[in-house]
Amino acid sequence: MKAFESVPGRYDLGMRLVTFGEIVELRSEIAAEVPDNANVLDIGCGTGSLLPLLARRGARVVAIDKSPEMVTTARERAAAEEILDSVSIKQSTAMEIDRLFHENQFDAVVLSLVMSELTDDEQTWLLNQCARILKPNGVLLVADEFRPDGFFRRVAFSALRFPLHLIAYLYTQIKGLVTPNWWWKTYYVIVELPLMLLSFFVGEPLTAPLAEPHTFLPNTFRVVSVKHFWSGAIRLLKIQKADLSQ
Amino acid sequence: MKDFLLDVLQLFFRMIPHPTKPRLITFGKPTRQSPVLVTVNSSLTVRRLSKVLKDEDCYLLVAPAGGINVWCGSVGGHFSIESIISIIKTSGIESLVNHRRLILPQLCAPAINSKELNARAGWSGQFGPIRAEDIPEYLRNGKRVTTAMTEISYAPKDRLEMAVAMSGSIIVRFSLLPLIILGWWGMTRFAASVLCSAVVLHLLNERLPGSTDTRKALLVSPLAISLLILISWSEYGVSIWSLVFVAALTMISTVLVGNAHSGYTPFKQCSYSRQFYGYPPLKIDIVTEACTGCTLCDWVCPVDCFAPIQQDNNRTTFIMANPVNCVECGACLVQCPTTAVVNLYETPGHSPELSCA
Repeated sequence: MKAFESVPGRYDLGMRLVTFGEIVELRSEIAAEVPDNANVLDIGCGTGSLLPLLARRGARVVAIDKSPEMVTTARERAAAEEILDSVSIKQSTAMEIDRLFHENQFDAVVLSLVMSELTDDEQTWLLNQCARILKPNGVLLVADEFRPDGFFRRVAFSALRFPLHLIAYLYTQIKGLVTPNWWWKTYYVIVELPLMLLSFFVGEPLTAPLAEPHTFLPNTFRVVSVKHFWSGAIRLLKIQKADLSQ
Repeated sequence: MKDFLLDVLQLFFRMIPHPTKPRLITFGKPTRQSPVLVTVNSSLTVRRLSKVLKDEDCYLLVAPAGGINVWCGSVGGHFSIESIISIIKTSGIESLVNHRRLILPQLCAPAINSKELNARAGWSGQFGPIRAEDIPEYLRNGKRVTTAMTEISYAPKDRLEMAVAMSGSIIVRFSLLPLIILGWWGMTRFAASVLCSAVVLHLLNERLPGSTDTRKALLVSPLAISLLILISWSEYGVSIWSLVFVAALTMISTVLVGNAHSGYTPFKQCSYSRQFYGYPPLKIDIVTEACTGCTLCDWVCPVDCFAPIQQDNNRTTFIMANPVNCVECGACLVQCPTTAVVNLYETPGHSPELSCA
C-alpha cells in the first residue's frame, strides 16, 4: 500500500487494519513455503517483518525496498532480532534488479504486495527478471491482492475496497500537512477536499488488484499452489520456474 | 473532437492529475540513431508534444509520473529517476536505438541529475528546451539550445490559459458556499466574477498599480461588478439586494484570485507547497571558491538568476546575480557537479565568504 509507505511507524499497523489482521498469517505462510537454507530475495521488504521468519528457516536473505525510510526501519529490526549476518538490506526499486543480481542467483524470490503497485508493463518486466535470477526449480512467491472469483464476491470486494482506498488516499494527501496551526489545517482540509476527491477519481489508483495468474505469468513459470486469504481477495501463489535442462 | 473536449476539460480542471498510460510513442520513421525524448504521463503534455513532434523522426518515452506536468512533478517528487528507469526497462527502447542518450525536458532539472541517471540506468541525459514548440528547431540545430529556449516566457496566450486554469481550481474549491447561501444564482455569479478578475489580473498584472496582487485584484473588482450587474440586469432587472450580493461576491472572489495569483504564474512557487507540504525555502548562492564555471546552473535556471564573472586568475565563475528572480525550484542545487551552489538557509550562520551580488 503506497498510502502507508512514507510513514514506516504506521505501516505495519495500517497493513494489519486494511487486511483485518490476515497479513500476519500471510507472512508465516510465505516463510513456510521457502525451501530450507535457501538464497532468498525479498523485493519490497517494507519494514522487514518477513526477514526474521526467513532467517529462522536458515535462509540467506537479500532484501530491497525503494524507500530509504523503510530500509532504515528494516535494518533496525534486523539488528534488534540479531539476524544481521544472514540478511543484507539494500535501497533499490524493483525495476533495478537487472543490474543488481546475476542469473541463477536465488532459490526463492518473494514479491509480497509489490505487483499490485506496478503497471502491467512493469509486472511483465519484473516477472521476466525473476525468471532470470531464479535457479531452475526455484520458487517465486507472489502474495497480493487479486480480483476475487464470482460476481457477488467481486461486488462485495469493491464495496469494501473503495472506502478503504478513499481513506488511504485522503490520508496520504492530508499527512503532508506540516502546518502546526490547527485553523490553517481545518481551512486546508475544507478547501482542498473537493479537489482531493476529484483527483481520487481521475488520478491513478494506489493499487490495482491482479487478474488471473495465467494472464501475466511468463511461460517459464508454473503455478504450484494457491492459498486464499481474506476470502480470496488476497492470495499467495507459489510459482515454480521450469527446469529447462530436462 | 475528443481531443478538443479533453483540452477544454483539462484546461478548467488543470489542478487535478490527468494520467495516461506510460508507453513508447514512435514519430515518423526513426532509425537506430534517432533522438529519444522523455516526458511525463500527463495526458495534456503528451497530446501537445504529439502535435509538435508529428513531422519528426524520433522516439518519445512517456514516463510514469502520476499524470502531473513536468515541472510540478519534478519538484513534488512524482517525476524522478525511478520513473525514467521504469520506462526505459518496460519500453524496450534499448533494443531500438544504438546510442544511450536521452533528451530531457529542462524543467525536470529539479529532480533528474544526469550523473545519477547514468550510474543507475546507463543512459546519459541532456536537457532540451523548456517549451514543446521549440523542440523541432532544437532537433534541427543539432540539439543545441538557444538562450531563449532555456528561459521561461509568459506570453498572453499562456496567461489566458493559466487564468482559466486558476479560475477552475478556485471555483471547484470555493463555490459550495455561495451555492448553499445564494443558490444557483450566487454560484454562477461567483464563477463569472472569478473568471473575469482572473483573466484581467493575469493579462495586466505588471501594468496594474498596487504593491500586492490582492490590491491589484481589488482594482479589477469594479469591472467585474459592472459586468455582473449587466448580466443580472439583462435577466431580471436590478434590485438593491442583487447589487449588494453581487458586490460582496465580487469582493470575495477578487481577494481569492489576488491571493492565489502569483502561485499560478511561472515566477513564484505556490504558497501552498511551503505552508502545507513543508517544502523547504531556498536562498541560493554560489561559493566562488568551489565554482568550476561549468555553466550548468545558468543553463538549467529557468528564470535567469546566474551570471558569469571574470576572476583575476583568468577563471570564469558564476554568481547569483538576480536573487529576486529565483522561483526556488532547486534545479541548480541538484545539478551542480561540485557543491558550489548552496542553500543559505541550510548553511550555518550564513558564512561571510559567500558573495551575494
